[in-house]
Amino acid sequence: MEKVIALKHISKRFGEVLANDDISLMINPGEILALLGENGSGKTTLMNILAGIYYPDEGTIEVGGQEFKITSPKKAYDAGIGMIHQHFKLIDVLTAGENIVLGLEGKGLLNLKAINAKIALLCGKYDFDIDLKKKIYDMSVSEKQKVEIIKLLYRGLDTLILDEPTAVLTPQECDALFAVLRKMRDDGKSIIIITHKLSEVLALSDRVAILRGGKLVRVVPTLEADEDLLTDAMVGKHVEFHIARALPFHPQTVLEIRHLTTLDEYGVKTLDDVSFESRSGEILGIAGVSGSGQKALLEAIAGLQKAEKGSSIVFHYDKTRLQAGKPSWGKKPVPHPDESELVGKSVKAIEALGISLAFVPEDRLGMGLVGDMDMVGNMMLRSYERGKTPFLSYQEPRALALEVMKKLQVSTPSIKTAVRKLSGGNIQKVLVGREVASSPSVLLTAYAVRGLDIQTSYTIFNLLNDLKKAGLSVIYVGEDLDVLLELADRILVLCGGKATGLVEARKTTKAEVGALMCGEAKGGQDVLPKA
Amino acid sequence: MFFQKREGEPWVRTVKRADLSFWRRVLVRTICLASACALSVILLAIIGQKDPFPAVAYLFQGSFQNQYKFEQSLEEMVLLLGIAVALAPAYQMRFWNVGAQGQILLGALGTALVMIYASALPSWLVILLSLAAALAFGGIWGAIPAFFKAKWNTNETLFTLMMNYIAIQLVAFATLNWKGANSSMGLINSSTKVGWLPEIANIEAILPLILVGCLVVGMTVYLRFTKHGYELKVIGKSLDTARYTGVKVRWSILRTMILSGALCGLIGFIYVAGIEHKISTDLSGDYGFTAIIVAWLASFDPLIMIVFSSLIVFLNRGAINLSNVAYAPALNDYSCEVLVFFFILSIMLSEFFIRYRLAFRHRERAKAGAEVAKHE
Repeated sequence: MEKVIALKHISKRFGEVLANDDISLMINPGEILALLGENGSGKTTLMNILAGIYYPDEGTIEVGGQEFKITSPKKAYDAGIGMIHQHFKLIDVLTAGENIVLGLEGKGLLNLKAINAKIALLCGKYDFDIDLKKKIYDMSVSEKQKVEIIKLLYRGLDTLILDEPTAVLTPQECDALFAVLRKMRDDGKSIIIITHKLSEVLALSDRVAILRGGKLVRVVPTLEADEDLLTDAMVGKHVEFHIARALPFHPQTVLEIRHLTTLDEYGVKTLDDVSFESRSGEILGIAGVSGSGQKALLEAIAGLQKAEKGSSIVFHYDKTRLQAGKPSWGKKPVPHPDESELVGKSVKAIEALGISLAFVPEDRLGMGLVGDMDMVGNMMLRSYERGKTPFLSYQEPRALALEVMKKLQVSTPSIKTAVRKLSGGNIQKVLVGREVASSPSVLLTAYAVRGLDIQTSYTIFNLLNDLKKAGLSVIYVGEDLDVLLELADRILVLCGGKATGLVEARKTTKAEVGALMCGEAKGGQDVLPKA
Repeated sequence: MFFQKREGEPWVRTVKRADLSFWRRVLVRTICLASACALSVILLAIIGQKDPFPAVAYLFQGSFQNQYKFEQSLEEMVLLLGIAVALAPAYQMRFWNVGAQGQILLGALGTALVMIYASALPSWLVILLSLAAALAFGGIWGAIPAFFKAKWNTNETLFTLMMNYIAIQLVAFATLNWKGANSSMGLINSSTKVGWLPEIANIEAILPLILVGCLVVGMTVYLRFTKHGYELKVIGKSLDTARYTGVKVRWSILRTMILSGALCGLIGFIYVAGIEHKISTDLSGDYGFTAIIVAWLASFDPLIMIVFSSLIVFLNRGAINLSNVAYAPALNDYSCEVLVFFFILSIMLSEFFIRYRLAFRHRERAKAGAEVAKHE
């Protein structure tokens, strides 16, 4: 039943936000359609409507020329439509096979033999090698994704929607996924991928639909599109984006990390004997599939994560630059030694050493900021203890809030507005602005541009480059390899908590970093320090 | 036509509102309160089978009939407010202390102990000593669950609740031991009045009012303007942020619960030294729990707690008065309690309607249709 699906005048409103505004779009069998747009442009909402998770406020959906009311995911299945969400919907404690048959209709016992035979046939057809008896919690992300795909294929669906399918994959896994998707297209299935990565759109899709601010702004055959055209349509005006990467100026070792090992709450190693150095005036990129130990690494440096015995993080004071990190709560500045060991020290203890580490954590509202507080309250988060009285001083934080608002062009009704009400980009500006204000020697950032629109992302990249020129040691944990290769000076690759390589960003390739991300520890031009 | 809806779609759903202006919020609250009043009057008419408006008058008489009733209400309001304020710092950091009752009883026990065993000392010294004992006892009772929470992350709600029962048993044990004049039946130091708080202008409620008034002001300053208050808010909003900032979370939990427990102990002290002059297991009635409602309704803001503690005491006393006067035989304690329930429900509903509104699909469609027509 390969039929054209037509979305007609779809609108959906969430509170004040018009997430989809009168969108009409055709989906043809035998094509890969890319749905491109920035975060918040309404891509996922539109697809959730097609998959029966939301019901549109206005508009209709036609399948094969007939109006079809998709009021539930079940109904979507009936129309042949299935969706693979960004966060997989699998039951961890069940096996792959059990997850695939879960929710199937029919009475009495399942005919497992026939089912397994059918699954095996599907796997053979698309070159999936998957162990049906394996439990989901034992699986890698890409294996889980395969289970999700088979689950939909098994139900005989012919329109598959994938929400940001490559966000969690290595470049090699992406290529494998693309091959499978192309094969399914050639079998006459419709594939829709939701993405904001231009390179993927150009490499994979046949047609691309671009959304902006809830509206469908353009539909073009991919052959007629190029990066400029797509970016302009996404952003809404012509813009030139580039990262101006300068060579590091007089790099000096700032942090010397040796044999860093950390455990999670269950005693499993999150970092395993990681050694590297960060230098002033350079951006050190950290690459790796998410969950490879990036969080533990940054938190260990910031004094939030306990490091195991044998670990060492040595901070080298800058002799050429005046130490700007002020000692807290009015104590007299202590003449500092040449270096300090940070392992075993709390956040406050590190601060008391006159070391200023800025940290922009991944979870902006859950860790870096307090969403219910206004900008002033958030500005004092790191400095509220200053002053001898037990009372808070609002003066400095207020001045800082105004400064950050002006300098980084934070768009907010006032500095008294709760920060959770701001957009993602503005929230990040508030956080970065505060962290940079303490004139730190090291800036740790985790996924600094996740969820931000292109313009704000480049504002952040440029800011990082400025800080680098000012002599900061920037550690940038990223997920987009293209950005890492363009922004960083060196890239440390993590895989399963181990450092699998440290490469010069100017000389390496995406494929090489990708291989290191998969654990093929080859090392790059820059050899790891000897143990 | 009204209920016409398309297959499978809900005809009403809740939609989050944008922030309402101050006057809109006042309007929503007024409407909710007015509907609670209307509902109460209707209910009174149905149960009482006669003109409901005299019943409303009886409701008011509960607190305002004469000076005695007014003083009693004031006293109850002050105590309820005091307990709610004592809970505020713990609730600000999302430590759900439901052990106010136990902490009050322990404070009361400390006061009674000093009053009985130090009765030979001058009265002012006994008052000071018993105040210190009350603060210490209450503080310790608050510190125990906090210690376990900080050390082993035990559930504070269960823990503080169970501590109430231990406190009740301790007080029961003590009163049984002091048979005779000092037991729960008798006043402590009834002839010498050693350790009794002085009455200002011959009104018992005034000194507690002053004490709790200071407490409200002090707590407001503590929560809004001090570093501790700021830390509490950060911990309450996000533990990870507190960790990120370097707040010593465990120490904060312990410190705050000692404060919260000690302030509950202070209320226990006021009960024994200022009002009851005796000790019993049901000293504070269920106000240790009612105060939780007050604290929540006021979103843990001590100043707003003044409003809600007054309202609840007014309703409670009104309801009791109504069931006592010979107005309608069918009106008993329970039907009067329902009235109190209506009002609390209306307050909670007004909070809901300030944040959300109901969207009816047929109306939205009609509106959209009208807009389209306008364009065309």
